[in-house]
Order: sequence, then structure tokens, then C-alpha cells
Amino acid sequence: MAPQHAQKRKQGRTRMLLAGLFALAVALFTASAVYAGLTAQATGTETVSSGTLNLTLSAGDQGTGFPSTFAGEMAPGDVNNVYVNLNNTGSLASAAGMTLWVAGAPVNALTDGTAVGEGLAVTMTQCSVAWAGGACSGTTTSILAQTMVSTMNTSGTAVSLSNIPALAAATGQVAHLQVSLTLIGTETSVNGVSPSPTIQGLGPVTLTYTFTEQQRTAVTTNQ
Amino acid sequence: MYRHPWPARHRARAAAVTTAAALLSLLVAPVGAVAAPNRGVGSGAETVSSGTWGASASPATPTWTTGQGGRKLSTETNTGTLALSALTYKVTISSGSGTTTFTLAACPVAWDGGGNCPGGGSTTIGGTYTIGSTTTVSSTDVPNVGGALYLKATASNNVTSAITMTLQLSVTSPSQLRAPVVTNQ
Repeated sequence: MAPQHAQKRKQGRTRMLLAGLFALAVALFTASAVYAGLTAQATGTETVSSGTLNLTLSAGDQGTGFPSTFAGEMAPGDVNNVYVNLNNTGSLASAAGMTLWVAGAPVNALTDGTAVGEGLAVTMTQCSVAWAGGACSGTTTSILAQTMVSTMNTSGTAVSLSNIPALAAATGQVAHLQVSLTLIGTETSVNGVSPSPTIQGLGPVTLTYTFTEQQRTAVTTNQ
Repeated sequence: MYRHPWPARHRARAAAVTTAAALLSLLVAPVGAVAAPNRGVGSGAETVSSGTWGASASPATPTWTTGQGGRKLSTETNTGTLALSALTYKVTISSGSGTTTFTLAACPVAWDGGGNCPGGGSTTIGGTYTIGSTTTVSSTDVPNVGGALYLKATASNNVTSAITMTLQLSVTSPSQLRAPVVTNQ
């Protein structure tokens, strides 16, 4: 009969445990009721929405825009004009000021300055109206004077573009840009041998243009 | 199919990993939240390749042995991938005795056995070169890409000592390359 005895003892302990838990629950409920009774609440509401800051680079008013490939091989003095629209499509205005950097891949003398004074260079011009046939019938504004890619080939060496307040600062504003890429080369090959380092026979190199705008100045309101 | 439950220590480890990941994401998320909204970025890509330019002559050092006169032939080729508009010849005549002078001419096709340019389209490169001189001449007679120009160096009479004419051909960009190309895309 020993096992029956043990089972009865176990049932007794279980009942006692359940009773204890019940008592504890009652105590907690009572305590919370008392606490609720001593609390006063006041509420207010405030509604906010966050804006967006978006910059898009799309095909311009003529041509296919980016991505672009210069047909054939580039010689010093050649120019590849690409027409793109830079558009502030966000709901927030940008701060005055925009930067550009151009990464080259693979990195070589066309973009890294290895051949001093030589390599690819970029010029940017904005037209007040759409470009057509490679010409601007409105007013042109220089956004970037001719700049060697080697001087702005990392995010850390991004250059500031000019006249940005008129570019894409306001929401929905479109800038009509001509991005001119040229090769600067002043080297002499002797008896069919190019100098070293050289800008000759390199590529294909893919340039990635990155435009960055900053959010407008933060606003503080007192209401 | 019966699946064995994980042992308790495995469940505890999994719970710890999950908790750590959740805490890490809480720490990292605000950094991104701060950085992301204050910049707008637009980007585009462009691909280019650069050409090559140059020219060379072979043989580059035509030589007259003592008592020899007449003509020596050489072939000039465009070694680059770009068309040329001009090139520079540096013509050096070695030192030696005598008063022999030399001339240099180019023909778009190979010289015939009589030393004539078939079709008559030869041009003279520079003037008269004297023994011991170095002369630099620019010429618009250039070989096409992948093509050749045929040179003929002629001695005015038999030399009295061995004489070598050294032809150095150079091409400088951008002035001696084809006209620049402007594309609008």
C-alpha cells in the first residue's frame, strides 16, 4: 500500500500549490485595482509625417542618357556628350549644394592620375530648357568646369557643383544637364612605342557618376 | 514523423542568439535611420576605351656601305588603332667622310623595281640631308590604320665611308591624330 500513500501525499501537495497560486493571483488583482484607482491620466495627440529626399538621374530630352558607351576608341580631344535630367522627386527640398564624384572601374591611368596631366575629364552644363540636337536654345549655366576624373574619383574627393540652388533644390525641379566627357592626352609615341605610364589602349572603363544632395536645413517649430 | 525535441541547452543557446541579434538590430537601426533620410543620390554610368597611336619604320636604319650608292627601301606602318593626320620624322645621318647627300620619299604603294612609285603618288619628306646632320620634319603623309607607307632613301652618289640613316617616327597627341569626334547621346 506504500505507492497509494505516496500518491495521496503528492495530490495533497498539488492542492496546496494551486491554492497558493490562487491566493497570489487574488492579491495581485486587488493590488492592481488599488493602483488603478490612484492613477490619473491626461492625453494629447500630435501628428507628423516624414518627408522623402529623392534624386533621380534619367534620360534627358535627347538621346538615351545613362548608361552610355562611347562607340569605338576615344582619342584625345574626342567628346562624348550625354544628356540627362536630374530631378528632385522627393517631398523635401535639398540644401543648397550638391556634390559629384566619378568612380572608374577598372582603375587605371584614365581615371587615377597615373599619367600626370592626362586622363578623362568631365564638364557639366545646365540648360534652362530642354537640350535639342546637342544645343541649348535657352540659357546655359556651368555646373562643373572641366575637371579631371582623377581629382574626384572617390566619395571623399567629391567636388561641389556650382549654381545648385537653380538646379534641383526645390521639390519637383528638373535640371537639364549635358555631361561632357573628354580625354586629355598630350603624349608622344616614338617608333610605335607609347610612353610609360600611358593613357593609350586602356579600357573599357566604366565611369559611375554619383550626384549627392543634402537634406534642407532642419526646421524647428514652436506651437 | 516523430521529431525529437531539442535538448534544453540547445533551446537556451538558440534563445540567447536570437536575443543578441534582436538587441544588435536595435542598436544598428537608429544609425541607418539617421543617415538614410538626409541624402539623395542619383547615379549613372558611362563606358569608354582609349585608342593607341604610333608609327614605326622597318628597317629603321638603312645603311650604305663604303662605295655603295642608290636607294634603300623601308616600310612605315601605323602601329596604333587611331588614324593619324601627321607624324614627325627625325632623320639622322651618321658622321662620315664625303659630300654625299640623301633624300627621303614616300609612296602609298610599294616601290617598283626601278625605284618608281606606281601611280606616281610619291611625296618628298623634308629636303636634302647631309652627312652628320639631324633634321626633324613633320609630314602629313601617314599610313592608314593597319596600313603602310613605303619609304625610299636615296644617296646622291656612292658614299666614301659607311653611312647610316636613322629614322625615328613619332606621333604626338592630339595634334597629329585624326580630327576629334563629338557624339551626343
